[in-house]
Amino acid sequence: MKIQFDFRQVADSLDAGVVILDSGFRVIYFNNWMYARSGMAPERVLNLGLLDIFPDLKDSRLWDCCKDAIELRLPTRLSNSFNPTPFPLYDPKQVGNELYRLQQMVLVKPQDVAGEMFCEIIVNDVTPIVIKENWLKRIAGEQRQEALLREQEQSQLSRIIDHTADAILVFQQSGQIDVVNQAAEKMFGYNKAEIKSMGLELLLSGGDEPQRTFLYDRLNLLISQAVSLRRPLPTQAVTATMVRKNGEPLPAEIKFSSSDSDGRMSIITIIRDRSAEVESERILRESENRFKTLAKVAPVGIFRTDAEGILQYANEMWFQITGRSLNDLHSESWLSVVKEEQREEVEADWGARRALAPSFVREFVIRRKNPERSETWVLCHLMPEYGLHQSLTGYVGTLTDISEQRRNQDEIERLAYYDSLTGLANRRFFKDRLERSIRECQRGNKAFALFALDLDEFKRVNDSLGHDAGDRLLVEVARRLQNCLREVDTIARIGGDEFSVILPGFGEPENIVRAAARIIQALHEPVNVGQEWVTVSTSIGITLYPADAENVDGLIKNADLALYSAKDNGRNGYAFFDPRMNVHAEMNLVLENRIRRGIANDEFLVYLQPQVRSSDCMPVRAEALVRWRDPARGILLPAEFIQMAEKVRLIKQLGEVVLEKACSAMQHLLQAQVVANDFRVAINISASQFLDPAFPFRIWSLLNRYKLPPQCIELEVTEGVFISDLNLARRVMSCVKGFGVAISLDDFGTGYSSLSYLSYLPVDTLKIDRSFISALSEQGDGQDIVLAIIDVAQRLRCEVVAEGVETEAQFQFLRQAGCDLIQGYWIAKPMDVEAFEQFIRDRTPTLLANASGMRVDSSRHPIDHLK
Amino acid sequence: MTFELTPLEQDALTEIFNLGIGRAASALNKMVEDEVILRVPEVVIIPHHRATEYIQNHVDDKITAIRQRVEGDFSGNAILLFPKSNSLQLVRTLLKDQVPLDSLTELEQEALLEVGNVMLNACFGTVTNLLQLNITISLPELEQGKVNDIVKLGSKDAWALMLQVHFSLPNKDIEGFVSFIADVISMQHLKSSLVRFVNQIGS
Repeated sequence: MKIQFDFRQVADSLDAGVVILDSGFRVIYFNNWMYARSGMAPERVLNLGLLDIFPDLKDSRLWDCCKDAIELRLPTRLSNSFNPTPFPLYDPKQVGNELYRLQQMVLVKPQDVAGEMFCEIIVNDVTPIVIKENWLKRIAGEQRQEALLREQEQSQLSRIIDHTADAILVFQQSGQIDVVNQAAEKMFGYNKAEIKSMGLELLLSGGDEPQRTFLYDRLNLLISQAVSLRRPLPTQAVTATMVRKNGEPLPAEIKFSSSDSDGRMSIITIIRDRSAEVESERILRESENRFKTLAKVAPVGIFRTDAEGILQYANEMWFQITGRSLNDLHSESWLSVVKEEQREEVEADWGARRALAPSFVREFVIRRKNPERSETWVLCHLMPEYGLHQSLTGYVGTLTDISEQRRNQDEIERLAYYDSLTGLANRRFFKDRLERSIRECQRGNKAFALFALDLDEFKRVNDSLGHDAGDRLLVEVARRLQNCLREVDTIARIGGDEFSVILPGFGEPENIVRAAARIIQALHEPVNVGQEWVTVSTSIGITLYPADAENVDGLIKNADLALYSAKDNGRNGYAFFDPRMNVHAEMNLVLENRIRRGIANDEFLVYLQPQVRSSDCMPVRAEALVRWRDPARGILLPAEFIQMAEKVRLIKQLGEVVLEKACSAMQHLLQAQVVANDFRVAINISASQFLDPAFPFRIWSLLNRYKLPPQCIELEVTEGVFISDLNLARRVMSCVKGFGVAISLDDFGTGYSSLSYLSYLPVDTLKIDRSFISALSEQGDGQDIVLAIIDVAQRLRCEVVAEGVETEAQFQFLRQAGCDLIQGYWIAKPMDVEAFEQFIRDRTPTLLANASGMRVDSSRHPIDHLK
Repeated sequence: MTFELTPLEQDALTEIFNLGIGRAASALNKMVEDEVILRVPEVVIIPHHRATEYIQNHVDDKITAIRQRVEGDFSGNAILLFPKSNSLQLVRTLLKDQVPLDSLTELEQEALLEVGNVMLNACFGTVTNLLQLNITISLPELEQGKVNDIVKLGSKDAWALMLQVHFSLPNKDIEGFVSFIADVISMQHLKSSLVRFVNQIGS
């Protein structure tokens, strides 16, 4: 008991913590030091497990060591470094404040008391030591860092001194050389010791005596001044010739300066090797001479300026090109030779590009003091010249006369972009302009109109009057287009008689209409094409950007579609593009191509169907009917393609084929003497064909070509011809009738036009529509109408033809009614020319052979009838 | 007098120390962030005077030592020795301390003591436990000086159990020695315990 008491007293007086654990790791003793620093009360400590009191110890080394002590009897020192604050112990005044947690060093000792193991834990507060050491370490760290920096600086300085290109010698007050760098060794070829022993005087012995004396004196003066004034002197440089160990002279620049280091004056001598510089000066002089010689013989103008661009030198050729005199040198800028209008731009360009690229290249026109016949274009190259240290000393430039090249180039450009005949833009240029217009309008959110136009009668003029006339017509058209359009409008000849016009910024839509009307009117005026005057009309298709399409192809296509539509609506007019045109166009494209191919491949032919006189059934006429021998589908009837051909505007072309083939067939029949001169073939003519002002001309040339008596030809037209343009129809009719050709009116009675035109038009024959004939089988109205038609025809002194006659009853009725001619299956089906020939031979065994025929009166020109 | 071991005994002894060193390594790894790998290439029992030579062959003159006294069935001095520079390196590497002071500070010495303590405890705690030797070990003390001064022991008959220890740290390897210097009786005790241990394994 007494011992225990003593122990406690001792333990409580210790300046350390004491904790005693029993073998079950329960705290059986805690000294006052521990209570004060843990802030624990005895009831929260005694007889409680260590981990119950300090749960945070669970994974600590302290806990492991307690176990080692009890279980293995091993003592442990727990250093502060590895276990800084194992127990939550604090400055007694700041218990619980982690800032004041004590830094600890702990001893763990096993205690064997009569065979029972205890564990004694001693806790030392090492906070002051930790603070002290941290401070020490910081100071040491800073010192070391400083030392390191100084060392680096020092070694860097000495490296710089050694590796600088200049030789450095440092003289002491005594004149003794103190420091020699590596560059000095390299420069002179002597080693450091040799240089130190030689002194400056010997190193200077490469030059002449006075120089050496001067420099040596100067060094001494500097030294004495530096010493007496005790302050650094301003740096001064002199050039001198020194000597290398191998005896070579060394051109050098020497700089003396003084420095005060720790109260000791020293003279620093920096020697720069000037050999490279001296060499480059020599090369420069030589190249200067070469330049001047070259400049004299060069075929280009060469000039030099100072840094401000003022002319300093120019060769002979420069004076020739610019027409300047020597007076301009040293006063004028090189830019003064640029034509006034261009000078500002060239100068700005030069200013902008000078900074970016070394050489400046530019074409411009030379300013002439006396205005001249033609401009002189030059190509100017200008490059900066640099002196030592890359300082700009001036510019050197050349002027090459490129006027000739320029003219050639302009010509080439003109050929590439302009139509050589009319001088208008060509197709390529037109597309460029169209693209540009689109881009510009996209940016400016603006619109423009595109016209596609062609001449309705160009081909006729070309065919009849020759290409020269055609060309004259085109030139005149171009001229008139230019006259009635604005400067800003682009007029292009796309090819043949096709023209296009781009009209930007048209303002009100009416302006477009006005422009179109103006063009149509202007082109409709007669044109002199040499010997003749011709009148042409024009059709215009109009499309608008961006309303109709937004790209080049779309616009061109639209304009073309609108143009076709304008032509369809009758010529000499304009049409605006309508989106529906596109749909039609695509639907018809396949068919159109097929029909076109059919025409090109000669797949269309003519069948003939006889017409017989009702009185004696003699075949005196025939109707030419078109057939299509389609390679894929065999012989096609008109019903299968005529309507389509009309839709895609090929009916006219097809009609031409039929006309030609019929004429050819007629010629054959006549020549083979199958028929006589009074036999007549009726040929169907479409309205568009008939109303082409060139049509009479066409008939005329066919009659001539096939040597046909005009009465052998009868042109079958429908009422549609009169409806669209009665006056024109009458003029054409009068004209062809003037040749002696007959006119018949097809499908009579089905149209809605009045009978009045019959008295007004020179029609020879009326054809009763087949619908009236087929109605004849029934009794009643059918007969009356047919009778009425025949009556009208007879009163107008027209012949009457009934077609579609299929029965004898029909035939008999018609004959009795006074119908002159009969056509139909009852007589014969349409047949090819060979079969027709046979048919005629069978019916007319005694052929009238006296076919002298009427002659065509070629003195009268068909066009005359039109006027 | 000799303490020659049969190959089996030699293997057993090396294995026992390897177990101890394993414990030390796990304790060290708990103390520091980096992984520390410890290896014991060989364990030898040699006369005391040869031990000094053995150490001097590997280490220059100045050494740092951590000593713990052992008493009981097996009495003597357990010493961990490092060349002085190695001890500095070891502590500062373990503590990741960049401060370049020339000697160990008070706290660094403490830290080194703890490392030595861990090593020696692990070795001898394990060895005595496995060999069922009854011993008491003192707290470690730090000593610096020449090999001869540190490894000295009064008796001429003393023997030494020597192990070389490799500390493999992430960036460096450090060599140290664990030496146990004991009198003949203690060595005999050790040997007979070892024989008993081997026999137990065999049986």
